[in-house]
Amino acid sequence: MKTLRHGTHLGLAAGLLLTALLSVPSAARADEPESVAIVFNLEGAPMPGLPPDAAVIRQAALEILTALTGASHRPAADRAGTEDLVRRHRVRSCAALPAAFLADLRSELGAETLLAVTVLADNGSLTATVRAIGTGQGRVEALGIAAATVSEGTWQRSLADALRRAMPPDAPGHRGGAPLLILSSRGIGLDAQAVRTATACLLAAAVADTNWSVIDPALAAGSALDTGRDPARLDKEGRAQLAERFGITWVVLPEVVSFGQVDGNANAAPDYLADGPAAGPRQVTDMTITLRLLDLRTGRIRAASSIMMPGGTPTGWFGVIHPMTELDQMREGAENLWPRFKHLLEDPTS
Amino acid sequence: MKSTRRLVRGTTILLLAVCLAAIGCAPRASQYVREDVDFSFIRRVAVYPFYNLTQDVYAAQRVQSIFVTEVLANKDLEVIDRGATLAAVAEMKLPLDRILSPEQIKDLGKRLGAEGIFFGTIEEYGLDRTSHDPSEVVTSVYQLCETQTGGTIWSSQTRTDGSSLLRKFFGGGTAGIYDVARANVRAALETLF
Repeated sequence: MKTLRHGTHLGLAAGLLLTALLSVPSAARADEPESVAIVFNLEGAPMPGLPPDAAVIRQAALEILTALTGASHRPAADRAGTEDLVRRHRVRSCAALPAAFLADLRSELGAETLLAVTVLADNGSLTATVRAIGTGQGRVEALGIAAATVSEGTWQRSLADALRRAMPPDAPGHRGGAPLLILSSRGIGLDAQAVRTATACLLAAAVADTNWSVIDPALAAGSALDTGRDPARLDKEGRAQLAERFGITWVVLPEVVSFGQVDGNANAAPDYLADGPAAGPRQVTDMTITLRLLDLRTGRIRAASSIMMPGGTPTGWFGVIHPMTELDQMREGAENLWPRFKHLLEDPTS
Repeated sequence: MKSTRRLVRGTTILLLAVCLAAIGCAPRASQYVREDVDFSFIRRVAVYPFYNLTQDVYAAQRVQSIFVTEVLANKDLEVIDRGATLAAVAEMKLPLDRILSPEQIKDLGKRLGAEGIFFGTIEEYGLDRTSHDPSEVVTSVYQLCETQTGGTIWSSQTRTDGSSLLRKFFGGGTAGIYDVARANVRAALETLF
């Protein structure tokens, strides 16, 4: 009898505990960390040191990214659900994202943030770009870029290294400031991947400036795809659509021009170019980055600012060579140009 | 006393001559400006895609990028976005490899709301290896047509190279192609503004 009473008490206690635990979730959900959806793109070409099957790299990258988000207490959203939405909205790359895709990530998977991750495999290195995009308004919350060299048998380590360093710190949440749309760069004399890297460097400089609420350019590209318009040829209707869609009166048009000027390395022996410490993954040429401010109401350019980044291999005292990659050059150019351009931005917004 | 003055004057003239000769990227330009046109009437301009006569496929686009920035640096003119110009060119089915007729220029101007349209032809771009001292060279022709009649009101043919006496003295080699192209554009625009 005693045992039965004891058992009943235990059962009641367990039932109460279970009820308490079940009643907690609505309150606990509010405290739960926001989940993060991850979309991954691999670009570039097969290269020595990487497995020939892109699916293997993709799988490894997704596992690393899930672990990284988990470590920052932001669990990854359901991967199968994310993949389903990617297929449903025909998201082929992180460079063009439909607004409906972000909305569905939020409503169906409860993802507050999308991590749009691109890894470029090119000339012996992996360059990772990670954009944290708020699924609510499509603003870039944080952005990171990092590169790692791939050597034989160490691609997993290089991939993890590039992704870990590119992973931006926890997003600061809602960013204040006026909305700012920087369209994807127009490249002259550069391949598409280099142009995307340049755009990412410019975005990183703009996002670091907390005065602006930066709209992800992939949304503008996605919007252009939806309406069948070429964002490089914005006529009156195209400008009006952009203005209406994003509630802005002007956009920033970046242009990156490579002048193809090669320094003394051009005369160096081929083995030096291939294996030397200063050869780098790609020969760095003179390059200009230009930012133009387009008034969407009139179609005229209101302001422009340009910077020239010399190419070649910088040599210091006693002939010490400081290797510079295209990514270093673009990042430095963007960081130097943005403060100058920022002053021009202040006038139209005031 | 007289001989000292003469010596000083002579030295000054010589120094000035050396300085002028030593300035790098010295351009040679010939230009035409129509005298009976009031240039203050032209406020809003478009830049038609430059025509490329060189081996470098990107030469025209590179020089055009510099050209637009330099025109914008002159605050007197408003420049219509390249995208709007390209959209109009595509819709009007205008040729990119031939000179436009005055009628086409008038129509394009009306469509873009531009009072003037710049045209450019890049004739030479890159390293000139024919001379004893190879240097970067840009030769170009720029034109400004007003859109009321479609007539040319300014034209400039400019050749700029990257060699200079200073560079030769100190063994600096040729100036980079970007510097040469920018000097070329500036030299041409100086005859307009």
